[in-house]
Amino acid sequence: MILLAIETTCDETGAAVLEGPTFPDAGPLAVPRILSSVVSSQIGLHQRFGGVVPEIASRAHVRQVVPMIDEALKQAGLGLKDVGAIAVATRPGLVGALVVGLTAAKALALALDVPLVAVDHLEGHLYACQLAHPDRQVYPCVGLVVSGGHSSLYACNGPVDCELLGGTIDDAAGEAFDKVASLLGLGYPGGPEIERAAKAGNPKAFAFPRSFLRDPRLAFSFSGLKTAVLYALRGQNEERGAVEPSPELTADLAASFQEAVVDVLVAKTLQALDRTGLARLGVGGGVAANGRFREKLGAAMAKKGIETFIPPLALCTDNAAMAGVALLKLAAGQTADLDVDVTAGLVRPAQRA
Amino acid sequence: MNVQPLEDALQVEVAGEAETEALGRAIATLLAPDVVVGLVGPLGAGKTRLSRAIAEALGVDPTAIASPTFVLIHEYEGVIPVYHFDVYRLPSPAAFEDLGAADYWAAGGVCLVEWADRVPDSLPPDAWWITMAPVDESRRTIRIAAPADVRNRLAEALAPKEAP
Repeated sequence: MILLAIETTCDETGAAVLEGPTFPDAGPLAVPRILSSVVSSQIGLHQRFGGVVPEIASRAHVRQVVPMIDEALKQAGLGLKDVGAIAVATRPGLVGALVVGLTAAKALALALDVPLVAVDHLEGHLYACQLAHPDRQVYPCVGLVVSGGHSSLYACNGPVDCELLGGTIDDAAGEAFDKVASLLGLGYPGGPEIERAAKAGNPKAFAFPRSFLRDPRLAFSFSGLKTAVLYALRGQNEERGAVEPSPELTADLAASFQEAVVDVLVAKTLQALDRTGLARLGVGGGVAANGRFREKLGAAMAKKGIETFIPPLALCTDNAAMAGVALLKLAAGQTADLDVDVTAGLVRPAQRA
Repeated sequence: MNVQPLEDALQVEVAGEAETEALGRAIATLLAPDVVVGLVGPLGAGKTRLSRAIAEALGVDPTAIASPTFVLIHEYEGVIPVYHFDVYRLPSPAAFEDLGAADYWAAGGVCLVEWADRVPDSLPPDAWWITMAPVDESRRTIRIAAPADVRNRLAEALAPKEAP
């Protein structure tokens, strides 16, 4: 079974071709193989505005979705006639962006007369752990998705059976990186910029708040941290009679901010593991690329004997291959009708299908 | 909480998040379907915090509320629907209008629009405007521009209760 997967939930147009195992003879893990996965990074377009620009994102998706599909098929050495099913992420994301991918997927499913499978972008992020480790059992696990739009913990019984344990009550971790980078006059995306600046800084220079660190609630809050960085910056600038922070101050603020985010992410993950009694952890989302996060998370998990899965960078950030989770839904008969719609915003736990 | 009626607005000084929450709860009691509220203020002013307080007071599940910066529009179910917008990442009013924002103004819910000063003319003319100015790390001066009867009732609701 050849699956063509499409991803347009935010600022990446992605397409991937996967080869699924043959059911019901598939092995216990039944992990599909990625034949190709391409993303057309739109970072260049967005940099001008210091953030993802949804309207531009939609227009760029329209321009790029067909070339991406062509490129993915070409790299896989296959043609449209070989495709047996179409997968597309239909939630959550930007409405205007989601509909571009969904419309392309519907058109292809109709024209090729093959099944359409709608997948959850966040379940995809966690399934990337399984795709990256096809010979190891990832599920059941605690799932942590940390990106520009999400900071959520899940209890995952299986790839398409993830229960939300908690998420952010204000800013997502990646959003906090972007906004703090903007406060410090650094570029976009904020994650790599902060990490670079932090290398020369002292993570203990500022004692920034670590929200909910000792709170039993499995929730995140990064808004107070952002405000604390703002006032630390303002206070230091006033003391020095300057408007711009010195490179040393920027480095210390970046390092102290990053340390606070990482400490909270690691602590809450440990709490979720304790709460659920699960012994494995899967991590997804662009923030998983942060070196300091990987270092501290790795150390904490090793100490606890938790088996940890973090996909390589190309599978952490938004990509279409992770929609390969669709093959499991297909095997379970969970296909979508051609009138299926997108779900833009947060989907409350009770409504998760 | 210091409450001061101005000519065309109500000015409230809050000290700390607890007072911001109390203000949000008081505002929520005055909201009705199809009221659009523009929230204005710099990064860290407390726009999302106040939006959260209003939405929670309208019966929205607290775990469903988050910053809409990334996905632009969050729809929450409450005693009435709450539509939570964020214009932070949009380059122009046209981009905001292209999203179909106007479809929400009369959809039977309360609309909370963060960074609304970036699209002032895209909001309906009878929108309420809440402008938050940070004084220091915890204090905020909040200016509420709304119809006179709303301002009066809000001032009443925020007045210190007399000791029994």
